[in-house]
Amino acid sequence: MTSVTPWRAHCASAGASAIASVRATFGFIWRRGEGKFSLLVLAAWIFVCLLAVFWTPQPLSQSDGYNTWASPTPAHPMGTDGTGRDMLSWLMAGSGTELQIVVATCLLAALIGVLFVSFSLARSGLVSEIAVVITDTLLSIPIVLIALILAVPLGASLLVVIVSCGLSYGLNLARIAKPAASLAANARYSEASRAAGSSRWHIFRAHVLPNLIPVFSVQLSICAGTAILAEAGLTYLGIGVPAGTASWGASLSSSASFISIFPLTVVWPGALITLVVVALNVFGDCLRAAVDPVVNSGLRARGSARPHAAGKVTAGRKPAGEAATDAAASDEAVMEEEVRL
Amino acid sequence: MSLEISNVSVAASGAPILTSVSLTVGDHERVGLIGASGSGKSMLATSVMGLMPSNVTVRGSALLDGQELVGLSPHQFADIRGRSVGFVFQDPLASLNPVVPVGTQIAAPLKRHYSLGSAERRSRVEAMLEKVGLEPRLATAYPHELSGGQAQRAAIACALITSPRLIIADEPTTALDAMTQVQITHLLSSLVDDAGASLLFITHDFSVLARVAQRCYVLGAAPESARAGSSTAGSSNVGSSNVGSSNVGSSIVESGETHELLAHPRSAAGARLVEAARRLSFSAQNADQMPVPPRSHEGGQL
Amino acid sequence: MLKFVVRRLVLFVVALALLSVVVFACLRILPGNVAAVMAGTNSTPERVAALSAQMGLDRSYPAQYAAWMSDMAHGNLGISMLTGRSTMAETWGRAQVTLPLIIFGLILSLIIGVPLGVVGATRRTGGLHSVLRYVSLAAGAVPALWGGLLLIMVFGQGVGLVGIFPAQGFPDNGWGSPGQAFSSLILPALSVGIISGAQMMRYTQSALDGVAESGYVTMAMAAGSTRARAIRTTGLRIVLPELISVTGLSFAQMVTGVLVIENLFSLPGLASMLVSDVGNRDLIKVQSELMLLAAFFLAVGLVTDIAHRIADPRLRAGASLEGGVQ
Repeated sequence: MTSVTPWRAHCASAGASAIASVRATFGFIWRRGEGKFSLLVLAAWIFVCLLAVFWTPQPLSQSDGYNTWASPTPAHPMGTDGTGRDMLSWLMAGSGTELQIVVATCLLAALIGVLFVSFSLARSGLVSEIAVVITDTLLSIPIVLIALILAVPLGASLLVVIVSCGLSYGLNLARIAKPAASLAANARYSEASRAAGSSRWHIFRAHVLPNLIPVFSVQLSICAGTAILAEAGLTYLGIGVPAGTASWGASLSSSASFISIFPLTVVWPGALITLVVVALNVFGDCLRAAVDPVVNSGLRARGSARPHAAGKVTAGRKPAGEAATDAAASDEAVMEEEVRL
Repeated sequence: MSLEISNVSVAASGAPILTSVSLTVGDHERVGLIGASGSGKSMLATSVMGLMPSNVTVRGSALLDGQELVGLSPHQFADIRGRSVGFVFQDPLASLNPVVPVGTQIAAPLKRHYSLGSAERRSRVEAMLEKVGLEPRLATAYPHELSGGQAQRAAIACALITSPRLIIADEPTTALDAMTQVQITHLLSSLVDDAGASLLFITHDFSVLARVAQRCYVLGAAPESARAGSSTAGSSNVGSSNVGSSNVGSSIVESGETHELLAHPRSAAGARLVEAARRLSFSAQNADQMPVPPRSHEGGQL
Repeated sequence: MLKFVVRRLVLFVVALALLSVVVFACLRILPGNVAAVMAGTNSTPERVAALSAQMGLDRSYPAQYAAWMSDMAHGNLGISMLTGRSTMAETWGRAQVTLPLIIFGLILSLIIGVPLGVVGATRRTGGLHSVLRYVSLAAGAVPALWGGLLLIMVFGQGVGLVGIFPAQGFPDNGWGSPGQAFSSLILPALSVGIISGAQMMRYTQSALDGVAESGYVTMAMAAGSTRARAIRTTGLRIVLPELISVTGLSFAQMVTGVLVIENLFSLPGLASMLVSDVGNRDLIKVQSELMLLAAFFLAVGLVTDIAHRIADPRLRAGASLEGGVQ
């Protein structure tokens, strides 16, 4: 079951307050052992991306023809691949590609998510019905199938990975965020705003959207992990990152065919992908706790009206029509609490 | 069956909720436990019966017909619950399993504790449904298909199906409307009397309690003496961060005959509860002047 | 309930129609004539024209779409341009490897994920709880390719430390030799099953955590269960609808991994066919294949949604018994 806090109460209207909220959130994550781990890994990832733009241990174009499939040496700390390219340098360069994919995928997913959430709240029955058709049915289409469809006109390209993951996860996001959104749209502050003559679009922007931030941020960090894993899979299938572009999936794929002869080379890219995806998932878990004022006293201390379970989202898929029941149930819970206190 | 609670202290994650509570329910007796919201009265019943969440610790002694309850293993507790002790909770729709027919749920304690044939179980369930005033055909209904009052009747049937000797009713009427409250309290006390069982009735509402319990205990903020006692009693979590919570847990501030207590409450907590009941019953228009109890949050427990 | 099924069926058809348009469009926005692409770069204009006429590509788009739809509706999925075999027969042959692999993997994922999730939810504290949490976090984040490689390195015949399972290929006569066919699916299914099982475990545990201290579980305890038992029985029953949905979703999520694993283990499944068809620009075949797969996954979604309904009586429209006594 999903219930929503007026998160807006925390990140309020003033920008300074929003910054304080972000600080309270990250501070909370940092204070947890797991959270510290995830923040460190993610920071290191971004640092390496920036570093690789200017410097890699070996130039990417250089391949050491005499040292193919080399074991780690001082010159090649992670060994080399089948064409003698330095594994470490290529992984460093790949982290940039990975970051591009992740950022673009998350942006696309967020965009599609917001779009479909707003459709599902539309006044027109037809529009919301179509939104439901798309989110509920297309959800069962695997990422790889979307990627294959796109790969026909596009061939192997970053765009295939980004669009297939972004689309698939965006729809998922819309479905997960819908109960929170309809709850916020029907909450009393929205009713009041509507009574005061605000447009639906204004209410969506001012009251619904801020309430989606916790759900979205948690889900997007999981989406980022999914995108990295999908990149590796699609690239191996030949419909992901094009040949010659550095990416973790490409490094993993290139070493995969020679596993029986050179098992060590395959360790690095796989371990790296796993590490970063774990960090993203842990970050998502911690974020879920951090945006929950019941757990994070840092948010509560800053004058929230009352503690609430915030945007706790389970992965379950709910048939159409249940969202409304959810919203009603949560609303009842809120009222009940008020009556009792 | 008698329940003898003496000097029970309950803490959630180190924060005291109840301090040195003593209370007795005699054989065939109906006893009330009353306290404001958040005073930890539900916690008393759940913790001596092993229903508390894992972060709750219990000290002291609770004797059920001479058997010590504090410190029992989960399996020993499970063996007592549903056999010797039945429970009725506040909100039937939040406690009856929403995806299982009520008949199956009423039969659950029978199934757990006695080996009966399914036909025998079914006939007992149907007999029980009639006792609580529900049609036997409702055995196949799901909780969401029942009204609040019907659901609470089904929950009472769950509690009484094994003829336990002690019933613990934890705010059984709070979630119901006024008319249904009266019906449910009458049903509960008459069924308890018929079965010759004892009843511990927990509520925050004197107007309900007066109908059920001959004797009652009032739970309120622990007096100074108990505070001193609790700090020397030395809970293992002395250093725990219970910042902001001014209390050191509630304890029994008053006890006696319900009617006497209702007429002349001696403690502040008792007086407030009596006052609240009066205002609710006699001058609803002044309800906004009612003293509002301090906002507090029981650890993880509704 | 009937109303829901009808509605859901309508959604199924609408989504299918929507997808068919998308697939059709994706194949037509290719630069140049589809026939030219299919014929290859060195072909003569006459050859392209002949191909166009043969495949009906010289007609207008709506006419092409209508012809394709009507063929699909009659079960005629066309023939492969390269092999000349019927698309339906070829796809079905490949699916006999892929489908058992998916189902086998899904079963493993449930066998691994659900019980461990229950253990994680009932043991709220202690070493086992943390170990399970870390293992599920790590195992759920492994790329399928890498997971498969690691399993080969440990168990693969001729490569691994304890080479007990075949790591390559599928018997030539397929399920004609069931023992061999089955054993060649063991490592692939383990690869996808373990990864998906770790995710399933996290879902199960988080769903059970949500009800572990609810009134429902307390009520079951009051009837004479320990908390662990109440979570295992009442808790699991309450989250069952949610788990059904998650299982349906995992089915779709697993597929990327399944296709990767198929390639890694050189299994003659759908993956190699799809990828080579896309690469070979055997476009009319690709069009039908993708549509067939889309229909299949939409059908899985349909079944999942209906199963969810059945598992949750609150969503079943039953006769109201309201007001019997009060």
